[in-house]
Parts: sequence; C-alpha cells; structure tokens
Amino acid sequence: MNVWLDVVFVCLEVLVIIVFFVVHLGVSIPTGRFKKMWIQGIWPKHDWRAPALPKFIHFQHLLMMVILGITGMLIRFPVFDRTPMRIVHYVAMVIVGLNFLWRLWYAFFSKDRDWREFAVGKKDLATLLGVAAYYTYFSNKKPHVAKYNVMQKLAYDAFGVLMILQGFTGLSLIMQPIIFGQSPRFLLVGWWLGPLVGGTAMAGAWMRIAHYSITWLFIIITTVHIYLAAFIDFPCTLDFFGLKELKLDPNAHAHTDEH
Amino acid sequence: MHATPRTLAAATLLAVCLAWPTGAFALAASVPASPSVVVTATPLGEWALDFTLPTFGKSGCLVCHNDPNLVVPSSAGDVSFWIDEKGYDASAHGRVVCTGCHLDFGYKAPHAKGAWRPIAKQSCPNCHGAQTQDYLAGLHAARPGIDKSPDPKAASKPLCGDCHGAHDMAKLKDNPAGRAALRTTAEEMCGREGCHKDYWDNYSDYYHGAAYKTGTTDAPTCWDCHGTHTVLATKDPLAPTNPANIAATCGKGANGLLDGKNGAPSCHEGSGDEMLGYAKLIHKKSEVQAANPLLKILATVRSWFSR
Repeated sequence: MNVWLDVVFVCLEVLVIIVFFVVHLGVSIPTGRFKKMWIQGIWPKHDWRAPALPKFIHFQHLLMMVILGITGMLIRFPVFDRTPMRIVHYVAMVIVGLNFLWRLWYAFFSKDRDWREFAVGKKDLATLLGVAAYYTYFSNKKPHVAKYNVMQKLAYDAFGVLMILQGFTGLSLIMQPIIFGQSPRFLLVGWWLGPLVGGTAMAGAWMRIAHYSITWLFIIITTVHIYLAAFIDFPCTLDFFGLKELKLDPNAHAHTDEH
Repeated sequence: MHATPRTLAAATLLAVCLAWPTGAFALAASVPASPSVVVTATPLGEWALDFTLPTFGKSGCLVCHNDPNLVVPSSAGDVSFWIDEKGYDASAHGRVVCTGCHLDFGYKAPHAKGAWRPIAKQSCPNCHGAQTQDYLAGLHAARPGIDKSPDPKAASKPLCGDCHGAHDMAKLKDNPAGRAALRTTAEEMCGREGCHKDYWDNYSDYYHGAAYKTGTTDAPTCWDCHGTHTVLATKDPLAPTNPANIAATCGKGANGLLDGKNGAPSCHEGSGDEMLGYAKLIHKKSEVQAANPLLKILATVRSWFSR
C-alpha cells in the first residue's frame, strides 16, 4: 500500500504537470489564447483588487504549506534525523491552523466577509459545463456569473475541506498521551475506528495513509493553481504578490463576452 | 620460587624498561618492585612475571598496555594492544581487574599464545548469569548436535564481547545516555560483514530502517524487534518477530524510548495482527518496489531514454 501510494501519486503529479504545462499550454498557441494574452496583452478584466489582509493570509498560508510539505516528505523519506523536521512540522501546523481560522473569521465574521464569493449555488452549477468547455478549448466563451467561476469556487472550497481533513488526520498521528492521559490518536480515531480496523495502531496507520494522500492532493491542486495563476491571469497574480498593481476596469463584472 | 640477586636485577631492569615510555615508572616505583615483580627465565625462554601487587588492580597490566604504541607486528599489519585507560575506567567494567575477564593470563610475559580472545569473551557468565542463560537459549549461542558433536557454525557465532565490545563497554543500567549510544551501533553490532549485512542493507522502509539510518533516535534498532540476548529465528514460535507475536512486539515498543513506561507511549499502542502487513515491509521495501508493476513500466520507459 505505501509503495503504491508513492508510485501512484508521483505518476499523477507528473501527469498533471504534463497535461497542464505541456498539453494545455501547447494547445493555447494554435487556439490563439496564448498570443492574445502574452503578446497582445489582453487578460481577464477585473473591477476589484484583493485587499491586503487576504493577500497576507494567502502568503502566510503558502509559506507554511510549503514548509509542511517539505518537512512532511522528509519525515516519510528521511535524509537526516526526522526529529527536527517533526518539530518544524508541528510549529508550521499550528501557524497554518490559526491562519485557517483567521481566514474563516475573515470570510464569515469580518466587515469584508466574502464567504458568498465562495458559495456554490444553482446559478454557478449551471455554468459548470460551460466553464469546463472553455478550459478544455471546446468553447471560447467562459460564463461569468460571479467573481470566481464555479470551478474556482469548487477548488477553493475543496481546499478548505482538505485542510480540515488534513488537520484531523495529522492530529490523529500524535500518540503521546497529552490529553488527560489519552493520545490525540486514541481520542480522534482509536476508540471508534480502532475496533473496525484492528486496533488503535492500525487506525493510526490508516490516518497516516490518508494524511499522506491528502498531502498529494494539495500538491496536485496547487500545481494546477500555479498553472492557472501563471498562464490564465498573470497580471492578477502579480498584483496578488504585490509585484505589479492590477489595472481595474469598472465594467469588468458586466461582461460575458469572449475571454 | 626463590629470587636470586640476578633475577631481581633483571626484574627491576625489565620493570623500568616497561614503565619508562609510558610514564608509569612513577607508579611502578611507588610500590616496592623488587619483592612483587619476580621474573624467571623458563627453560622455554619465556618469562614468568609475578605482577602480584601491581596487577591485582589494573596498573600492572597497564604498565605495558597503556602505551598507545604497543603493537604486535603481523602479516596483516601491526595489531594494537593498547588499552585506553580513561575509556576503561569510565566503562561499565572500570572497577573490574584485567584478570577478571582475561582468566587465562597467568601473569605470563610474553602472554601465552592461543585462544585468549574467546576466553575473555566467555568470562561474562561469571558475573552475568541471567543474561548468559538468555543468550544460551538463542541462536547466537553455539549448540552442540544431538550426538554432542560441536556446532559447526560455532566459529561464526557471536560471543558477548562481539556485540558489547570490550574495554570501553558502556554502562547501560540506569544510564540512558549509554543505552542511547548503544542503540546507534546496530550496523557495527548486527549489520557487519559476516553477520547480518543483508538484513542491515534491506532495513530501509520509511519509518523504521530509513529513519534509523538517518539518525532518528526513536526509530527502532535491531534488538527492539528481534530481542536482545535471546535472538531467535522468525520461524521460531517464541521469536518476537514470529507472525504470532508481531502484534505484541509492535505494541511493546523500543527499549527505553517508546516503551510505554513512565507515561511514554509504546511504538504502536493497541497493535493487532493487522500490523503484520506492514511488518513485512520493514525488511522488504526494495523487494516490494521491485515487484511493483507501475514502477516496472516506468523503469522500462526510462530504459528507452538511457540507451
């Protein structure tokens, strides 16, 4: 199982890189999209720039996730003593956890709450096929019903769900009896999953498998995210990282025409 | 044996010669050498030295053996017989005299040639009876045949000192640092050439072997799973690595670390027989990788580009 996980996810990641950075980018040349964006400079229009706080939260999240990914891999595939890697992993875990809670607060309770921007409604779902057709070059028109398209919304929401699952599975790996004489592993999975799979240790083993698999899902989703950020809306990405200010177009939200 | 003036003079001269380069002359001179060091020429040309007073401790032997330059030339190169006095003093046997282990050294100089090394290694039962009984119950002990013929593999089987070392043997009892240091010696102790090098090489799975080899202190060393003095083959029903005992072994934990004692967790608390599936990977990750069909395909694709 462990060897299969390594092999399958590495192959999947390589496949995703090829599909997006080679095939998708390659097809954008004969279809004219590449020329339109990179030579003619016609990019998606925006009537809004992200405020500083979500940018900061995103940057902090990005940094911690990279640290978590690297230290996590070095725990599984050690090239030196894994103990310091565990400590860094735990510290980054706390920061990214607090950061996640901060983003949830921002989304639901701050004065700039933006949870509606991520909510997937019937109107969004109705555009799913259209958005998919645009990204697979079957159509040149991208339905435009909200700030984020339905696939963006689904991806961002999935990332949030995966964050919760990753936190749960990660805490389930801790077996030190630090909570009233019980380990997080036992309290989270040992008492209910343990009897089903053959004991607390096996429940922990399954959580490790899930934790590792979700790590790869993060890597794959982020690979696609990086591709789209770089090749579909590069000016927005530059603005998001504070490198070049985005030019706003007040009529951007109203348009439904060809991208 | 009565000392003649001639032998007394020779003894004094020899003692001075032995002691001078090592700085131990002051020590030798601090005790009355002439009545305690008696050297007699034997008909065979050897010297019988009575080091009674100085060697009842360690100092007599260390007159010679405390010299870092003490070597015996051999066809394979110089063999050092230097004993680091500081290491010896700090070891678990710092208060044991040399002849406590070197039982056959009847104060002869030159020392009698022969199997002195195994004799020293087998002197342990005199003090460590319980551990010896455990050792004798395991595969590491030579076992005579039913007809009482000697074990043909006896020469390749380890004696106490082969694993525990000799003069600088670490204190283990009530000494976490010593135990931790011992845990880092799996390759030298078990994985050396001629012993279990193959098992050392294939001990490479993620959280056990790979972690241990990169210096992780809470990763298991050989004896955490295979036992210490009573080492048994996996097929033996009593072996901790026997499939019937795997759950208990994984649940027990490593000695002194994740052992479930003093509030610490064990390695795999609440282990069940399902652990056997992973346990098989511990020494067989390379085999499992080699048998993986997807990896085989990738290797084939890779070979196309490497031609």
